[in-house]
Amino acid sequence: MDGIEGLIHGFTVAFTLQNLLFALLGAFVGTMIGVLPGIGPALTIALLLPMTYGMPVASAFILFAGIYYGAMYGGSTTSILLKTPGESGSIVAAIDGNMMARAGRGAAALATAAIGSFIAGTIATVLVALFAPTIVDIAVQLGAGDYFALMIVAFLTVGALVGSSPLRGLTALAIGLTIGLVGIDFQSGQDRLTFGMTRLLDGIDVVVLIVALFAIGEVLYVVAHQTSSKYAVESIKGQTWMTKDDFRRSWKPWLRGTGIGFPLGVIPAGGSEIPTFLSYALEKRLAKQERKAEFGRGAIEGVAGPEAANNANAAGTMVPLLTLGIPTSATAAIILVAFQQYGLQPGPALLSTEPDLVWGLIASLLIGNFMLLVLNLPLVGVWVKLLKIPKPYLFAGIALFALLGAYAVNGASFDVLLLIAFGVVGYLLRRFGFPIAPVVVGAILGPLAELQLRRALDISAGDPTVLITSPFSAIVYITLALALTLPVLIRALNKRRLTRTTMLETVREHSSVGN
Amino acid sequence: MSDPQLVSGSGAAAAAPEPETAVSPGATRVQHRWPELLLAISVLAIGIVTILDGMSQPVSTSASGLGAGQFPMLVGTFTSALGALLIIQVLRGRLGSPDAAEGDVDITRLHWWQLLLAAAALVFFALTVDVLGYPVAAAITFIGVAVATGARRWLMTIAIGIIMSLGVFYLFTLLLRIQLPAGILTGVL
Repeated sequence: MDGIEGLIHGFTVAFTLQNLLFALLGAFVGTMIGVLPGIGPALTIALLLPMTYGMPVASAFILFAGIYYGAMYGGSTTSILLKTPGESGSIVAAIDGNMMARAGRGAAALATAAIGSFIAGTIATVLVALFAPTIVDIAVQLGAGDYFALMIVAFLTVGALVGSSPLRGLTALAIGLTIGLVGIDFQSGQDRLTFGMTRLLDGIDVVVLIVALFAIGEVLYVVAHQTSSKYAVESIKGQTWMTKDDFRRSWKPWLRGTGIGFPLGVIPAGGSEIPTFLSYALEKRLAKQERKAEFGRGAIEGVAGPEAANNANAAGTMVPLLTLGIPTSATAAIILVAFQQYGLQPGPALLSTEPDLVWGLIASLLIGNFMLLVLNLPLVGVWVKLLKIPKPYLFAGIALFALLGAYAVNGASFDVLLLIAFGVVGYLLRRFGFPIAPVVVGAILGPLAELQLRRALDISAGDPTVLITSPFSAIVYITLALALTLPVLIRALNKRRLTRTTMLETVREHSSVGN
Repeated sequence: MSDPQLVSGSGAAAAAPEPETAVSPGATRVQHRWPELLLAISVLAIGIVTILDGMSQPVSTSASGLGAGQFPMLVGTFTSALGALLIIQVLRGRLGSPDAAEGDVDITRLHWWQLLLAAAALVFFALTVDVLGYPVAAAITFIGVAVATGARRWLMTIAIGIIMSLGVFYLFTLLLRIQLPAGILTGVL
């Protein structure tokens, strides 16, 4: 089935009244939770996972598709009106978006973010449908060693490129890999790192881990270091929506952001920070002289571009997830968990064994995205009201749902204690500048990488050269080596450190000018 | 959570350390180093424990000769190497920049009793949910975390806590058909 056929097939699966209602419900709930400060898309899905425990698989995934885009949209609302992005992909858009909101142009910022997200999400999802079958054709021919090579790439890019420093990103990854080891070894049945606790034999549940790191870590971090127990929410009351001029300034950044975000999601390049930074930098460079000064003080291009890049990037990560079974973001990792809950393993085989499900999911992503636009432009006032929930009740509520989420997995209070322990880890990671996403990716991808490694070496009877001698893995490793050395070369040529930290500082310099 | 490394931040009025840049050896800033040093040492320790656990695994009989132990040893080596590098970084004064994704936080100030209260409220839920039941445990935990985050209106907080926990309880047991323990309120609810 090629991409277009598949997509049409997907629509026939998704277009039942019941499924459309699920998509609408998902978009609604996803936005409602995602709009709450401090709750990003990955956590939203993790918290809402218990809702689907009793549902048939197709409906559950359609619900997820809505939740996913709803959470993305909700997050941008929070970052614009409150300047608490909650996830790294929204940091850049929050700067100019929040400045716009302070200048009384919050409604326009929200609209350009919503329409930009819709356009980027739609284009990128269609591209996913077009690319997926081709990549699956290649993927089915790959051996275990090739998969292992791809996973090494995912590890290194996610570890080295997410967050403020490669060392801290890789350390977070190492912690994740260690967490992934806990439990019974799939092949030999030996228990590893369980320290005699029978409860740990099944391993550490990834839902518990994600909820702990994101929700409990967040609650503890805010409780320990908040400067105020109130939020300063910008109002959008009575404001005019996007003007003609806003549209004229936004449509090109939407498309350019999509163009930057999607490819960087497909080639596991580690997180949505880099594409959003690139998009922001590009828009600033392309801006005319008088507009250039607006960046950091509320330039609509600085919201439109990065928001589109963020959404296109998120859709792009669906390609490695659905075709190879490799998650490259925390959100993709939690979707993988959702698949595993139904005994499904994403990867090249899934498209042929469960075409209804995969194409239905892709079609639902498009439907969910459209639902959001319909739902959110009129309902934006309702979402803004949600931001008025007093901070103490909000965080107590987050804690309560996190505890419930952990308890509902197995109905065991041991999981709740595990949740709290990893919540403390999440607090420490935040406090000392370690990114969270590599922990999640390491914990879920580590066991899969080990499986491929041992499978490859079992076939070769222990000869490790098999890992690098297949043409595909050789190309992958050479590309990886180039990708890792190129920045060093460029840096040497430029005599300037082109790291995320300097990118972030460049952006911040401008925002502080406006403050 | 009474870990002294968390508390150290409260005393220092110095600005947050710059991201990954060398901090000048000023007297107040040196104080910031050792909590992070402790963390780096823990990373190294985790790596070593993982290696030891891997080494204690029985020899494999599989075709590859790879058993339960090799991959953990690989991961453990990776972890401990990074831990060692982190220790060097911290000793050289290169400290991490805290999470930028949240607004309104200042890591140089630590509300330690609020942190303790929140952590205690969470642990309280874990320990009592099976005995007291979900509604009671959840309501008390809600109130604890809300007070730790700055709730001042007691009656309001208690009322919301009770409504929230009962609402969730009925939503799950009646609508989603996921069983939660009623505990001491069995028969009442």
